[in-house]
Amino acid sequence: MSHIVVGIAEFKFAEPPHKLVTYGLGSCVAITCYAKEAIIGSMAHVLLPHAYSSSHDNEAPGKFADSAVAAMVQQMEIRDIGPSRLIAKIAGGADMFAGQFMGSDRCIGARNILAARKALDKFGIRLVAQDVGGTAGRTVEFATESGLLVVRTLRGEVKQL
Amino acid sequence: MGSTPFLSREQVAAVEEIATIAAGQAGNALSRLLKIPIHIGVPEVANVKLSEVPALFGGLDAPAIGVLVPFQGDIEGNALLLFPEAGITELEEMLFGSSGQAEDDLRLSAFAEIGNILTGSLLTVLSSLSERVVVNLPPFLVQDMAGAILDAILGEVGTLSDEVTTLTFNLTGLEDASLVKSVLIPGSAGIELFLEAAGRLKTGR
Repeated sequence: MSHIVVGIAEFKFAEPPHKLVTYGLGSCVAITCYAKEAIIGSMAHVLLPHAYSSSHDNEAPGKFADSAVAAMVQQMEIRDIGPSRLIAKIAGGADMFAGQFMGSDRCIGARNILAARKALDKFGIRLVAQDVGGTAGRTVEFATESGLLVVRTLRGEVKQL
Repeated sequence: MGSTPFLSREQVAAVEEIATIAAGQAGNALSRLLKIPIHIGVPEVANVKLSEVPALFGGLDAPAIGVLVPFQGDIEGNALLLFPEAGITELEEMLFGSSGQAEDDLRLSAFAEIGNILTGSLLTVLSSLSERVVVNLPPFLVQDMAGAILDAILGEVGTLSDEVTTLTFNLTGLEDASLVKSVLIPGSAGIELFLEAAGRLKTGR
């Protein structure tokens, strides 16, 4: 078994026995999609809700919530897995500086969460679990064998989704 | 993820020149305030790809202290200063004695003050060169994973580029003993100020 690291603005796929892991999520959101029958998982570490101009069209699709979900769906379809067979879990979207950006357009964490939910909804992907918001950073580990998402904080909190 | 570098080589050199002036002033101010000799040398200015940012801090989940300094006036924005926890022991020993132990609030307020002085010096130099009125506001503090703290500024810069400009300051004490490394990431407004100031510097105005 190995851990496949998903960096900022990246999205990756993995099959058992591998795990997908992404570190230090603040306002960023990890979006995972899992095909239980095919036993394959995908994770994106999105930085922003959506591209702000067409000049971003050629950028990494994993950078934005909307393009990340679209790219994951496309890659799953290549494997003959339609979006209705996927379940999703998301984590992240914190407001690290406790209210500095709260309620403004610059509260990127909240906007990332909303954009991730909308993008999943657009493709009819069921969001079955989430650990979002708050003011703490998160590291998440996604087991492709079971679809289990483990979320850890620096304060020692551990959640299993 | 290819994209144009955030700053050209010429602009990086200009930012370095401006930051060096500010670093000298900040070093003097910190020495007076903390009553210990502190020198801040020529900062290292670099364009760093998003994928390479974690290496600056020993990983995205490495513990760090973050100081977010908002500024306002003719131009508004934020600058983020990060202190990787792995490199702060020497400074803490100088500030709090050989045990290096202090209450979290005290530790954080010390780093907030360092961040305030460093960014305040930078803003003073930038304001003077660009002839724009800019003042820094009280800083926001957080202690968490470096990557999580970085998101606060990467989200802003990331709308424009796949690279960020980083200014790495090395604070040294007696006999050039390394005290702490801090990495400053100016937001989009900060970069705009730097470039205006650099333009004035170049034309000698």
